[in-house]
Parts: sequence; C-alpha cells; structure tokens
Amino acid sequence: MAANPAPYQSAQADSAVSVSGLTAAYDGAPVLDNVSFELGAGQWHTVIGPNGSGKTTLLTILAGSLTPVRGDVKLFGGDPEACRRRSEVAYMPQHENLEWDFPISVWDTVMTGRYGHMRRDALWRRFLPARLSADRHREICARALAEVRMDHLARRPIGQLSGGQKKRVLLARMLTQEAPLVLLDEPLVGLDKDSRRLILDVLRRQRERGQTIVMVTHDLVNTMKYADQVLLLNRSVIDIGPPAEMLRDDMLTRTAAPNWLTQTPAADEEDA
Amino acid sequence: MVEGFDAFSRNVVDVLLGGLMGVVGLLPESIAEPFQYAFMQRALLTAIVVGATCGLLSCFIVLKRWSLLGDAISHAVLPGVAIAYLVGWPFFIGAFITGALTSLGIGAIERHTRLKADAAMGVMFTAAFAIGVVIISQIASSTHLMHILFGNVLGVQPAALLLTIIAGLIAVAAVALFYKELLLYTFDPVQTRALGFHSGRIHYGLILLLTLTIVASLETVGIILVVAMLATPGATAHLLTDRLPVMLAIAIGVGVFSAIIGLYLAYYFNLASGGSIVVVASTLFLLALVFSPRHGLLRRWFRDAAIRRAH
Ligand SMILES: Nc1ncnc2c1ncn2[C@@H]1O[C@H](COP(=O)(O)OP(=O)(O)OP(=O)(O)O)[C@@H](O)[C@H]1O
Ligand SMILES: [Mg+2]
Repeated sequence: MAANPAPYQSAQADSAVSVSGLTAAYDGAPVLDNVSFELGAGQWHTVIGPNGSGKTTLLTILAGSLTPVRGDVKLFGGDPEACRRRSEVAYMPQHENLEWDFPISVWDTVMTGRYGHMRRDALWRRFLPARLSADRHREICARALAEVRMDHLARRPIGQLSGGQKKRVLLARMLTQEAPLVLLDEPLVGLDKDSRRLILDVLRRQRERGQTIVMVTHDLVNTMKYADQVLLLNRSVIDIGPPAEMLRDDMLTRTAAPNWLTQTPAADEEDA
Repeated sequence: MVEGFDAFSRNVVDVLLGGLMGVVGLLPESIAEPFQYAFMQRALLTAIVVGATCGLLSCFIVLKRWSLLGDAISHAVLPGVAIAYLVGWPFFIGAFITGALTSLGIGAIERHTRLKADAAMGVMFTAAFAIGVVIISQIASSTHLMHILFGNVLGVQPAALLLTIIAGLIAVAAVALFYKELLLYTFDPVQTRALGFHSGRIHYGLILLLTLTIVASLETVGIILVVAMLATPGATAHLLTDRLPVMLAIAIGVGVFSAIIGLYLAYYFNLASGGSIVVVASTLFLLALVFSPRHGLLRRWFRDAAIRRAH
C-alpha cells in the first residue's frame, strides 16, 4: 500500500468531472434534466438523492455506457472517451447490475481491471490471455486482492461469494485499474461495520494519493465524515457544496421531495 | 473461378483427410469400418469442425442469452441460400450475406425505433425465412429443401468442407485473439465501455462470428437445428464448471462428441444427420443436468433431503 505514493499527479486539470446542460432519457422519458456541475480533481465527492433520482444514470453516462440526449461531459478538462481509453476512469457498479452466475473466478474478475492497460502492452502481448500477461499486471492484481483481504478466496468462482465479499472483489478490480477518477455506485450497501470500514479506509488512502472519488450513497453519517463535497441530485442538481451545508435537514427534505419520476418513497438512510 | 476453387479444395481436403485417416486407422477395425468411403471421411471431418466451432461459440451465446438471436439468424440465411442457388454461387456466400445483413439490421431497428429486440427478430427473420421458402419451392426439389432445412452431412462436397474449415479457423482465431474483449463484454458491458473498449465493434463482431458459424454448420445440421448446436454444448458446459476456459473446452468436447456419434447413428440407421447429432447433444445435456457434481438436479435433491433431515 505504501508502494507508489501519489501516482495520480498526472491528472493536471483542476476539475475532474465537468458536466453542463446534461439531459438523459430512457425511451424518451427524461431521467436527468439539464444537469450542470463541476467536481474538483483529487477530492472525495458524494452524490446523494432518493431512489430513482438518476444517480446510477449519471454514473453510467460518465462511464460511457449511456449516451446523453443533450449536454456536454468533460473529464479532466478533455474528451471523456479519450480518458476512458487511457484507463483513467474506473467504475464500480451497483450490486444488482452484474451477472454473478458468470463462470469466472475472483482472480480473473479482478484482473479485468487491467484489461485496459494490457491493450497498450507492446505488439503481440496485447493479444495474450490475462494469465500470460506481464508480471506487473499480476503483481498489481495480487496487491489489490490483499488490500481488500480477499487473497485467500482468489480461486473461488464469484457466484459463491457473500454479498460483502463480492463488493470487496469489485473494489479490488477498481483498484487494479489505478485510475485517477473512480466512480462508485452504492459501495456500502448491505455491508457490516467492518467491511464498510475496510472500503472507506481503502478509499481514503486512494484519496490521499490524489485519486478523485465520486461515490453514490445513502449513507449520510459516512458522507459527513469522509466527503469533501456533496452533490444533491434529484433529476436535476438540487445543490452542491460542503457536507456540513448540504446535509442539513432542510436541504435533504428538498432533495427527497417527490417529483413525477420518483414513484418509490424517498430514500431511507440505509443502516447509517 | 468456381471450378478452380473446386479443384483446389479437393486437394486441400485430401491432404487433411489423409491426416485424419491416419488417426482413424489406429482405431479398432469395427469402429473404423465406415470410413473406408470417401463421403464418410468428409462427413467425419465436417462433423468435427462443425462440432468444435459451434461448441466454442455456444458458450458466448449461452452467457449472453443470445439463443433466440442464433435461431433468428439461422432462418434469415435461407433466402441467401436460395438466391445463391439461382445464380450458381456457392450457397455459403449468399447465406452469409443475407444472414449478416439481417442480423446487423436487427441491431439498427432496435437502436433507432421503439421496437424491442424480440419483436424486431420475430418480424425480420420470419419474413426472410418465408421469402427463402418461396424461392426454393420454385427452383429446387423438395429433397434439396429438406437437406437445407435438416442438414445432410453425408453429402458434403470438398468445396463446402473447405469453406467450413476456413470459417472454423476464423472463429477460433477471433476468439483466441480477442478472448479478453469477449470475456469482458459478455461479463460486464458497462466495464467494457468504462475501459474505453468499442463495445459496438465487439457486439457486431460477435454477431458476425455467430453468423459465420451458422452458415458453416448449415450442411451438417441444417437451418432448423443449428441453433441447438449453438445452445446445447454451452448450456451443458455451464452446468459442469465455473471457469470460462474450462467451459469452452467442455463445450467444444460436447460439440465434437455429439457430431461424431450422431454421424455414426445417421450412417448405421439411415437417419437425418442433423437430427441425430442434436439428439446426442441433448442427451449429454440431460445427463449433465441430472448428474453435474456442482449444479446437477441429483446433487440438489440430496442436499435438500439432507437439510430436511437435519430439521
Ligand atoms: N434501463 C432502464 N430503462 C428504463 N428506465 C430506466 C432504466 N434504468 C433506470 N431507469 C429509470 O430511470 C430513473 C433513474 O434511475 P437510476 O437507476 O439512475 O436511479 P438511482 O438514483 O440510481 O436509484 P437507486 O437509488 O434506486 O439506485 C428511474 O425512474 C428508473 O426507473
Ligand atoms: Mg442506482
């Protein structure tokens, strides 16, 4: 963990994510409406909003899987696709959005985080199967697994892990990418105290090394403790600012106010 | 040009068959007996290649839940076969063109209209199939139609065999070279995009590969049954392992084994080759379903019974 301190200096720009006039829709129904905000590089940002308010949608746009109807996205001041191709964006999906039946081991899952870097390996090396790739990739993978304390389960099929273990594997995969920007969709849901601690500690260390963290969560207590900035989102940006201001009751009430999109009751605070 | 290709393929196929027969010659007389005939030798080689190629691709089809798409493409191939027959091209080429066009078209419909994938497939591919049936009923005998629909591996000609081999090699090479991309895309499409891979290219590449495999298998198992070869080996393997490389190996094994045993059955009992191959594959699937040490029904029954006893 002490390995390479502050490797994320390469991200020169002050702003890691800059979004303006973003509108997104599924089948014509707008889910995000004219969203604009800016997230500073090297900071820990938390996105808070009720269920169905468009948080996952926002992250999938930043991760490149959903094309917005309108609006402009810049990552580190430049073209987001170019950033992604340089493996500068890591994404940890919300638990439900992955095929846990897939025949793949913990080790191989974590290794997929390196695939972007392997693509830039010299010549024929990029075509090699992951297990024959350069030692460097495997070392990073082993280190990430040790960091989330899952090394003893490396050979297990992912389908046979508990919910909390799966989350740690996804976190390890994210770490192997060594991306200056990480997007995490509700990484703390369904975890016990220790696992939550472990994930938050890992993220804090990453943050100290200069990584920009964008985390969706319903956990207000830990947001208060860890976040540098909070983005209140409900179809559009309600407000953005330091946690102490954003997490006041009146602000949260405004964020949770039902609109025609959010049929489900406002977000409870999980087990915070 | 077509004649030149015929002569060329006869030579290449002869060389390959020489190698294959060297291996068959090591087997006991009673097993090797049918392969004294040239048509059986060709059938054996075709069956092996088709079984392996289908088995390989079937893993991705099963994991991506694309069985329906495979079925659809196989039907869309028919008008291509008919038109190629009309203008005297190898049917292979016509089949690939219409199969590819329709399967790419379906992606476009899905993206740009409000129709969902299943409706788009249902409409497009039945229409293509109907056109194919209409043309073929005008130009060819009904036995010919039967062979296209149900396959006739015993009648494979050297040119078709060589094209099948080439298609198989392309499929194997593509999967080997882009294994990481295919794994990533079937496992986690969002991560694929986040890492900056072109998921569109991977998607359509996989569809083209699927089309190629279907076309290559037409003569052997036929249009109606090819989808069985594209689903059953993968499904069987999925029941038996939790690792993708092992799954690929098992599926290839299941594909090749079914093809060879099916060929024997077709030869000895004078059955439609496609049908007997698929029956063997389905039997293997049933066995795996019941007896799989990990995900089998038997194991589940025992486990449930043990739990009941414990309470
Ligand atoms: N694939 C989809 N197709 C159609 N509508 C969708 C799709 N995904 C999400 N939606 C809709 O978009 C809206 C926002 O969904 P999103 O997943 O972004 O919410 P969220 O803020 O992440 O909620 P949660 O806290 O429950 O995870 C919801 O109303 C949802 O119904
Ligand atoms: Mg969500």
